[in-house]
Amino acid sequence: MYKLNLLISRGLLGIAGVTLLAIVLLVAANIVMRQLATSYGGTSEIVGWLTAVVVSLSLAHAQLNKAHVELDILMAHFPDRLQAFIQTIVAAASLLFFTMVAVKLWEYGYGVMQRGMVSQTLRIVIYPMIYVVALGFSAFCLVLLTDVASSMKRLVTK
Amino acid sequence: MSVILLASIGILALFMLILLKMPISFAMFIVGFFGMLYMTSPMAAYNIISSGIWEQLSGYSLSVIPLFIFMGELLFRSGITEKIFNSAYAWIGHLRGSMAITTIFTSAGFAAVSGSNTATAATVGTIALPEMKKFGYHKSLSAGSVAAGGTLGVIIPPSSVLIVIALQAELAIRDLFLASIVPGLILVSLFIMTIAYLCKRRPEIAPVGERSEWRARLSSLKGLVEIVVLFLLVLGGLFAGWFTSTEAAAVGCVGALTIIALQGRLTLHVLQKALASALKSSAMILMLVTGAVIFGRFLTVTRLPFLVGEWAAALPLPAVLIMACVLLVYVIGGALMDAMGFLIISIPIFFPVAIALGYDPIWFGIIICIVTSMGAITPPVGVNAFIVKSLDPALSFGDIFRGVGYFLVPYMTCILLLLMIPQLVLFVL
Repeated sequence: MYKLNLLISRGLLGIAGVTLLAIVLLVAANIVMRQLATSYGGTSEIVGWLTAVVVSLSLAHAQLNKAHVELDILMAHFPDRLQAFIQTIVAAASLLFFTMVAVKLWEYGYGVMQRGMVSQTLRIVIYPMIYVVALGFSAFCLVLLTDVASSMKRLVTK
Repeated sequence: MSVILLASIGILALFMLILLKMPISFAMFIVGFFGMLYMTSPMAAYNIISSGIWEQLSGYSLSVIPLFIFMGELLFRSGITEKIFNSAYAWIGHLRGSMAITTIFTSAGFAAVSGSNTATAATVGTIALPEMKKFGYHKSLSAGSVAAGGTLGVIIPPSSVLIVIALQAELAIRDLFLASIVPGLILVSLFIMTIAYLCKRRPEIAPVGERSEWRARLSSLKGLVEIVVLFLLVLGGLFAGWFTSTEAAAVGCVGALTIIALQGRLTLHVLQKALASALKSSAMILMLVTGAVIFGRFLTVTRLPFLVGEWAAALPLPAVLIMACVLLVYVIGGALMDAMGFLIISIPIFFPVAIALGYDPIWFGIIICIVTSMGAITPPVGVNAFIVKSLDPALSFGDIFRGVGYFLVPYMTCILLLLMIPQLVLFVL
């Protein structure tokens, strides 16, 4: 399970990295174009979408590396078994909540596709980007599932 | 149930989840969602976690965060820290306490490209701690100067904490960056004065180094000039209105890529490492920002922030006293929690209070940034103190916190100065 998560999160991180480089190039090119002729009107729209892609596809990697800020001052004083129990509950609650977020994002993307919604400036469909964000959150949930499993394992072995 | 009671339950639930070691961003998402579910309708609550998340993440303004972090990661890999450290030491190495002063200068210089206090403490400490040990510096002074110098990372622009404050409080990033320069310089000056004072009182804690020749001093500047030019272009372009903050960050990334390419350090491995690190930090920060938006919407529906603001403004006390109490909350919050986490939770509550009391929003953004960054060196969390300990396990926590204690006086002096004379922050705008 861990290896699968590692594989998925690395793959998504690779796409996020290329996307971040694309943002750099797009914004820099727009500055140059502004000096030479006229700026590209859709830059802010595209950069916004790409930022959403960058963040969502990096979520799984960030969770795998425990990058999210948490506070340890109270839990550190609890006995190991109690810590493991609370961690299991917290991990399960996080998993349930973000699974709901991922499902709602897939539904939202589907709704946007059904309604044929397009962006304000470029007038192009946005649902593929929403699907990518939903995919990022789904991969993130997969890592949370591993967290639940490992805290349960810790609870049993303590 | 009254909305005040509901908001209070929400805040209490948030802190309970955080104390149970749930990541701060997750706790804000969950409490914000369930608060909205109770206060409004299931449809509104589900919208906030679908279209709300999409709209928040796809906002153009957020793109500045991964770009500035990526710029810092690239410059970090250009060997900038060693260069600043060696150059500063070449110029002032003959003064007593110069190695500690060099540490502060290096931290300020690294902060100008980084924007993270932990990254600054860890990077500068890796070089400065062994050097100070070699030269026979007192453990407390060396540990204190690395830990305190690290906090400059969030005060001197570009700083991810300042960007988050700007996004949270709907302020211009440019204004916050500009306004933070003078307080940053005041803090650097006060740190250096503290070191000079300590060395004068107890000369044995910091031996004198050798005086470098002018040729060595000038050659130490090689490799730094292009980074200074990039820094001036990025921040100068932003302040002059040539670029938006996202554009300034993208220019910084292109410049940083060019610098490390010219140095022959740009390999696929370096690029991958810089990207992976930048993406990890960006995901963490943007989850915090998005969680804060959801939690903030719940608080807004309860009207708690406005009611607290009105209540505070109606108190029969001088505004400066109420502000001092608010800042005390930030001192305690910063000491207990990660600065960015606490700022994100507290801004929706205290920002309206500051406005109701008649304080300038930019001034408030800067002062809460400084106050909470002080938390990185104060117990019980004091993350920079733990970083120093991990860099040199031979240092005891007693040594580290004694050293950090020297730098709390300049911190308090700076905060008092800014509280009494807000123009120190605002005159540049």
